Amino acid sequence: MGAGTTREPGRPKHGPATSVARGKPAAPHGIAQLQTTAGNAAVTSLIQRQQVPQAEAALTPDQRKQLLAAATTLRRVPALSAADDALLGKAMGGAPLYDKIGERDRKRAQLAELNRQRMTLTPVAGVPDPQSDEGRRLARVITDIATAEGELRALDTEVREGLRPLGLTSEAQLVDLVTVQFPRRFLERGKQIILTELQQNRELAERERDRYAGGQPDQNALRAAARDLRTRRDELAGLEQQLQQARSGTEALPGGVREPAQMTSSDHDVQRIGRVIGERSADLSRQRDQYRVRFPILDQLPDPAVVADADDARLAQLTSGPAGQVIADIDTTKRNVESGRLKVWNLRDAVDMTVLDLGIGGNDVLMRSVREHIEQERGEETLVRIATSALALTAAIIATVASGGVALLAGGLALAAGATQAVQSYQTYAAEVAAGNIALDPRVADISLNEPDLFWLVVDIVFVVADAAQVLRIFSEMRLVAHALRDTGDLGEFARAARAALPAAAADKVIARAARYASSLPARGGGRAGIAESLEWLTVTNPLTGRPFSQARFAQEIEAVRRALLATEDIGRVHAELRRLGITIDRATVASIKRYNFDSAGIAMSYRNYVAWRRLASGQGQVRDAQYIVHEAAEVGHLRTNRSRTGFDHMGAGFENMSRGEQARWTADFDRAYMAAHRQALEAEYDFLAATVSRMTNGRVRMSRSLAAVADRARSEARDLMMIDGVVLKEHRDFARWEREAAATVELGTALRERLRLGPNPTISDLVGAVRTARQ
Amino acid sequence: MLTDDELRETLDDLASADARTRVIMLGVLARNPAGDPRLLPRLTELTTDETPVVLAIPYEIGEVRWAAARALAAERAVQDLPPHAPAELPSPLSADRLARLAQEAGLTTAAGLEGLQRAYADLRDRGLVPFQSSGS
Repeated sequence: MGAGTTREPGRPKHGPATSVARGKPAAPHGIAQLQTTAGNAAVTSLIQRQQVPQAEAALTPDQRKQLLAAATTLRRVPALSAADDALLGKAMGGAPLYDKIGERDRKRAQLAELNRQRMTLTPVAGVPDPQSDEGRRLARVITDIATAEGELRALDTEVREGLRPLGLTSEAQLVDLVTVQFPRRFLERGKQIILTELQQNRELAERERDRYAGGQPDQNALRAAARDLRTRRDELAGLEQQLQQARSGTEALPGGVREPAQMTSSDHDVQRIGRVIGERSADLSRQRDQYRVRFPILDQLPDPAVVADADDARLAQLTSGPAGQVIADIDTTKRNVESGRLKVWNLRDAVDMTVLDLGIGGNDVLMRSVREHIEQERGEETLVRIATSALALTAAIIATVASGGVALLAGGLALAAGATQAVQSYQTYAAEVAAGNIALDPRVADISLNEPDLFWLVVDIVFVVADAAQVLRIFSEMRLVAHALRDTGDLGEFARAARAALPAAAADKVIARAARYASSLPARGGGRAGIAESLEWLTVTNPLTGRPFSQARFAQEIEAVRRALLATEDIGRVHAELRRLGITIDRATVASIKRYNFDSAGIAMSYRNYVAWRRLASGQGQVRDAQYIVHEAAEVGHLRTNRSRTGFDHMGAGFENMSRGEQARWTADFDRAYMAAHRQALEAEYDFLAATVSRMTNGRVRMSRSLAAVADRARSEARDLMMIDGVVLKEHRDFARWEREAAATVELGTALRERLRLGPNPTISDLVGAVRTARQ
Repeated sequence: MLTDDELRETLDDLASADARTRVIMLGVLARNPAGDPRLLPRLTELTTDETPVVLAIPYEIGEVRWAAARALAAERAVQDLPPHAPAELPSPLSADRLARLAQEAGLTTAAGLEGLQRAYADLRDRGLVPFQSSGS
């Protein structure tokens, strides 16, 4: 059979469209190109994130609330006790296994039903004709029973073997952990959080009460605010009156609007006044938001206008009443919470804040367990009403900031640099820390837009760091290790970076939260997508046995080599060797590359990758090995960007738990994501090689990435896949010229030729080949 | 054993007009055999499919039957069936090795993966692709 004989004419030959055909979303085209330059700059820039135009960047109200909660109440809540921390870790680890128990029990029920069907279909005597409807149905049920029995056995084994690593001896213990102990501790933690929030409100209420007690400049400010609101309301009322009058002067048109040419002056008045009312209403609303955070007491007054003209004594009296009532409600609510009469989950945001505090948002099993526990008990309406009043001060402020009301006042200013008065007030009265503006900072919004999968890291940093500028600096220092954590599931590099960026206690807290985040990610079986370059493997000695690879046990032997490589702690050595080769790249990215190349679902175990890695790990790295790392770093960077935008995980976490159909779809999607990333990586790789040739010839030989790619005789992929000016290199109009240039001789000094082991009259291709195998 | 829906989906992929779709499903079965005898006829049929295709990433070109031989071997193993003797098949080639062989043979190749697959077929038809045991 010749090439393509089983393919239908005109049908696509390769797989990029397969997922689309299956109804899966296609990866976005035209992904911005990584900015690369030469040498170190190439490596550092190509792993930087890509920027998206800023115009649409905005945090959602929910994200703002998360940041505010982390920056205020949750920061004040005492740390989890060691016992609670251990219980939480165990519950998170046990959650997937608990899910399996449910799956197994459902499978048991399905099997019982199938056995019942078999009994019904099996005749009392004899065997049904296999060709009859009955016979076919029976055969199908028997097949389904065999399938279900096999699956049940596998689930049983999985559950049994999963208990020991958790330190549990029975399923009952696991069920108790997930459905009883965990929700109980969750709600205890919720109680602690609410008590902290109540205390925070009490301090705020006391300050509000004392603030206007007499002789305070705040009295004048409050009166001015109340007068301003009254003036604005009066103006609006006047406008409403004018509108009524203008309307009365117009002739009603039943069901229609007058043509512009036929409009009377009254019609114009109605339009104009209506417009002004709209503008003034919006102004009033914005101004009210601003005052709400500057003077929380205003919201507690039946009518804010009553303080506008009140003298000092009257004003103190008017404000102390509501503040005193709030304090009384707070004290009552504290008692109700402590006694257990008030169930905290009946309070708005209590569950959300506890989820955020414990970092279990991504754990569906534990969330379900908490919900089920909560649904068993009902709240007491009266107590909830008192508690709502007790928490009203911070609730109003948070709602205002979260909705963006205050941000609107900023008029697009960078709040971290010069916060508005409203935000300053918020900081002073609500949080007592200079952190409120984090929720309003456009750079934080930018992160949420460009790297939504790293928003958890922003929140975690906000838990321990108050200042917006610092939060952003630390985020920038840790974003690559956070990506690596997602890639590898290993905390090592993340912990190292956290300790370098934060004080010890804060680092511990961030690391503990990151560990919970990592445990909520899909389980990664790792693995490999087959073996690549088997011919090459078969010509070398198996490093584990010292003998040639056996053809009969080839796959097993390669797998053993792969596992041995993964078990070797060589990230530090590779990192150091890359530095010797002039490449600056962070350790976390090196760790990600290792995992991506040798332990991810889409990449085959490649001889070339393995040999390059081993040379680097053994301190024998050559320029071509640095070229390999530059390529992989660019590829990983591009795939991470793609993951942030589309959610597609190029590492294939959870691949082993997917159905076969899902595995096939994942692989088809990986094909497409890989091609886009690989093309970009080829550009980075040849930028690096061109720059290295220039550096090693002291600037005497300079070349473009295109020429470097054409002159590289050992690697052809760039010619076939790298795009230049929108076309594949090989089909570029200048390709023939680059080939001539690659074949042309180049003048090099004797010393340089000797250093590079080049003979007389080398060509550009000879030079590129010699540089690639040089050790620098 | 596959459910009826899974079987249909698997067979659909194995019968796809797109060779890469066939190979992806063959790869899934080689890695995670279904233990379903209903797949064996189609897998056996695909062991004669000589369509050049991307077999692996990093890019490696070979024939569909290379992947089919592995999937069939895995399926037979989990079904406790005696293994077939490995066949000598044209070896998969990395993109770089393929390009080098094409250059040595004086072949002008088109760009892209399409070009590489066509080059593979040309080299194979000229007997220039080395053979390798499908068991390795």
